Amino acid sequence: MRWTFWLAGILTLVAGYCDFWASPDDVLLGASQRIFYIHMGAATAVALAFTVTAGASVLYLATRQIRFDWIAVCSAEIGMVFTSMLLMTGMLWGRVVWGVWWTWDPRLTATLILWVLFMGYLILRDNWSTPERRARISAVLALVFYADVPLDYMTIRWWKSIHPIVITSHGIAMAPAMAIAMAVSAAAMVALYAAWMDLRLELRATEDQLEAVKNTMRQQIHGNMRGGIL
Amino acid sequence: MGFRQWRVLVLNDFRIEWRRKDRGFLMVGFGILEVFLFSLSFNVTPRLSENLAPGILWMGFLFAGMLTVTRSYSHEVPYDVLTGLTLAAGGRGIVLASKLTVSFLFMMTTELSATLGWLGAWPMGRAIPWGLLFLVLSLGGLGIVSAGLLMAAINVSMNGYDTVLAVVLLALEVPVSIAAVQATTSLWRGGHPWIWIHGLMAFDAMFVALMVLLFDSLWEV
Repeated sequence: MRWTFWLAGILTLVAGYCDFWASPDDVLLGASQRIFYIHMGAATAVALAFTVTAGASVLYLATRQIRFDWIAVCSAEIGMVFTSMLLMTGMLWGRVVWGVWWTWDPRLTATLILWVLFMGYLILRDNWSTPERRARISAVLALVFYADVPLDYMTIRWWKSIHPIVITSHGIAMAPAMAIAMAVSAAAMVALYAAWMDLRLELRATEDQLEAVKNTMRQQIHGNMRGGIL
Repeated sequence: MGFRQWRVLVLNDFRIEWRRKDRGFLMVGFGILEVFLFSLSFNVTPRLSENLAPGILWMGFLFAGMLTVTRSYSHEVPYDVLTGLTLAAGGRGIVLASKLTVSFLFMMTTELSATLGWLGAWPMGRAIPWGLLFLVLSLGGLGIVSAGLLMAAINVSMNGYDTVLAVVLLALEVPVSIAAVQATTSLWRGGHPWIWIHGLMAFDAMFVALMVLLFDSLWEV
């Protein structure tokens, strides 16, 4: 088993302990505060995943090496899983705290836009059949869509929002035991991202090898048909 | 040298529009229909207009922009004129600058005519700061056009996924729509629109910069 999976597994267990046993209940929110740790962890992984996508896209445009396109798309796929997790845990927390599953708050809206944009990125990739063109245009799309990531982070600071601001210029606005649970959860999610990324990149390389075998076989069949063997 | 080529391309686009009249018809027709349908369904009064107009107008501008700007290169596609243009002296930057100019002018014409038409039909109860309104319309228009042009350059190579691209563009334009609606509402109610105008400026700067940086990568011959 890969070391990334060991790391992710151990950190997830530690995060589970910190989130559900070691940290205290919130005075106002009670046990529902624990949803927040997973939510914050997912948010960290989302930021990392889409930053990797944007970085790999820049590197692809600069070097034209196809492996950077793979990194970009694999990271975007995993980023989408974490964005879905982020939205779902946010809705659960919002139902308890705000009394509604969804509200058109700037932060929530920006996160939903991010989900739509990167879903579009993944769907639109199928439009181009040549790997070079697909990689090139997808890199441009990823960079344009990435503009929503810093915007999403800043929404609660720039506009009136009911979403809580945890990381402020004065530090982390929560009790130390809660802050530790939040940090360990974020580390666990990042490790989980790394493990998935490791696995997905290997799968992507296998897909590529399979495609190369298929192309060779197609050429052989085509050659045989021309030579009148079939 | 660059200015001459830019002028030739801009005039060429206007000449095509003069012959075909499809873009102008689409924008003006869409604007009139939208204003007519909304005023009919809401039974708009001057007081109600103050609350509804910014949202209705900007929704119209956004859709009109999406319909036309994303097809900015459609006239060049059938005979592969685009390849010729990108290979011509002056480079792709001139093509981009000319398309941006033409799309922005079309957008401004639509915005101004629809806004003046609306204000003519339902006058506001207070004086309107025309200079600031023009600034908001320009910044909002530039935001719609700059993001739209990037998608239009991608749209050239699409086959079958252009509806997905339209949805993605709509999502991309949400920040500019919110900022433009809020700025217009503040102006019409006598509030403070500057926070939203700054938001529009930031959005425009970001998308124009992205367009300039990434445009070369979209078209490679």
